[in-house]
Amino acid sequence: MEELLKVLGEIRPDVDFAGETALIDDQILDSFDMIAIVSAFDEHYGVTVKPADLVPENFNSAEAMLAMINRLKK
Amino acid sequence: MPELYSMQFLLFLAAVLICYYAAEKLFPRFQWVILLCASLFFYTWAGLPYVVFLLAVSAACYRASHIFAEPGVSAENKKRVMVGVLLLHFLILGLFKYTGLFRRWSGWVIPLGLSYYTFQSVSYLLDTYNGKQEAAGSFWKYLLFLSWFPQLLQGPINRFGAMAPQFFRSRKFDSRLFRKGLMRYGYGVLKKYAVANMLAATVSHIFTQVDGDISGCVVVFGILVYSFQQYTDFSGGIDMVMGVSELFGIEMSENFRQPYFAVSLADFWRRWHISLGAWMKDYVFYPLALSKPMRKWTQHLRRKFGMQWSRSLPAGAANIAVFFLVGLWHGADLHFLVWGLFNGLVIAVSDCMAPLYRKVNLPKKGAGIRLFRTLRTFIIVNIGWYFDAITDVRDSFICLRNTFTRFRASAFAGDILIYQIPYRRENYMIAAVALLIVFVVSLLQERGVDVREGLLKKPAVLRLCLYLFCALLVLMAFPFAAEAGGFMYANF
Repeated sequence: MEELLKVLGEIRPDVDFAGETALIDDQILDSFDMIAIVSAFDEHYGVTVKPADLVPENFNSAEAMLAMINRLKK
Repeated sequence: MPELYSMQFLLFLAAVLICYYAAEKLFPRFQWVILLCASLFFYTWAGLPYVVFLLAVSAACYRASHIFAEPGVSAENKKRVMVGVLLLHFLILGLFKYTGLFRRWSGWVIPLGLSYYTFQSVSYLLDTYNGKQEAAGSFWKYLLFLSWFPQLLQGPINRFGAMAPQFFRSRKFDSRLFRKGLMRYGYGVLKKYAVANMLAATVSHIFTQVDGDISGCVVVFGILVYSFQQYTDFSGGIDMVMGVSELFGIEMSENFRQPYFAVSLADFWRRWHISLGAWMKDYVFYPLALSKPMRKWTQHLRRKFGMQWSRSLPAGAANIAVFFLVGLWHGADLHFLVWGLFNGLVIAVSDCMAPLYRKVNLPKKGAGIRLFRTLRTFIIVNIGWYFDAITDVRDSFICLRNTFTRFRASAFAGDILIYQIPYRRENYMIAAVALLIVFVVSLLQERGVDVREGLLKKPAVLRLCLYLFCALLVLMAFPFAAEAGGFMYANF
């Protein structure tokens, strides 16, 4: 989780990724952030997030993102 | 097509409502069939031959969604079916929207709601293809989703997943919801007829007579009037159809969220024509920005230039492509394309400059900074309207130039007479009073107040006075309307 928080923090240093649980629903992240995050996941974790995966359930919190990364790694 | 306030339409609506709520007692499981029959009847009202296109799109898309669910069909064949049906959608849309030759040859006009049901159908097609949405239970249910009559006039672009659970359950009459639906319909009527129709001719008279001498102050007046006319026309129409849909207890996707309170252009586009923006984001922006070449470009930029450029450039480029398409959707005219590119470019440049904004030590919260950002956004949006309201790009640039070089504020009273606007002072007074109501309601909504729920809790006398005042404004407005009452976003 710490590594993930570091990756996310590089993209949006002004967001508390450890505490937020409605990153998409509360419009804290915009579509530009999403592209940067997906690209970072590609580079750091070697997972390919598809457009169909870009749903709030997968991106509302760092925890949800980690669960998605682990799912995609399998 | 009957007007949304005409006696014909209101009688049709009353008949459908009676049948719908009576059906709940007689055959609750099939209550939705009333909605389908009403929608098809409404569609044929606009012209029988056009139903062919609606049926063709529905049948192809429905069949495709079931092929995607069949285990025996290979991934390659599923992709072929998806691409084929996608092409069919855009072939029909393109034929009507972009080939005047076809329309002249056939004598047909753009079928009612073509853009809106095409976009809805494409979202269903792609969601079922990607496994995000289960296929519809029957063709007739899918046909209702595409033909639901309130959405045909000017959207919103609904999603099957959000609409299906509402359509296909039995529903008892709920007087509270019904009154809320009526309120929303009435609010839309106020916006459309007491504001938009009071201002329309001002815009058309000024911007069809542009020459090199046009005063900047007249241009700014015309653009400001346009910004209110367009908002009240489009959002008023949406309020009316949302209200109609809510009379049946069915809530459609929101299309507006106080757009002129936005704090950036990107924020504005998350509040204006929301359902189109969401559609473009899901089905154009993300697939394009996450395509293989774009992913490679992003990673290359990150290694060479760091995080900020790798974030802003690919997403910015995809965003410009989206706005180019949004411009093209408005029409195959140069001014729409320039308008689309302007919006895409401003958002991309703004994202590139984000680190700079962070370095400048501006306060993040507070009424002052919020007002500053809102006003700045309003000005940027209005610069964009120069390429939307004015249909000749050369004229747009003349107007933009004269805004800064030939403002002539002191000569406004004389200069405005040149354009022979067929309005009296009463037009602007009615529009101003109605706009004040819209402003107060918007301000409350921006603060999270459920205005309709709040109104229902007020004493009946107060509510009655308010309704009568609004109705009076609308009735006073009708004799002053210089142009017929069609909606700007109909026929898309």
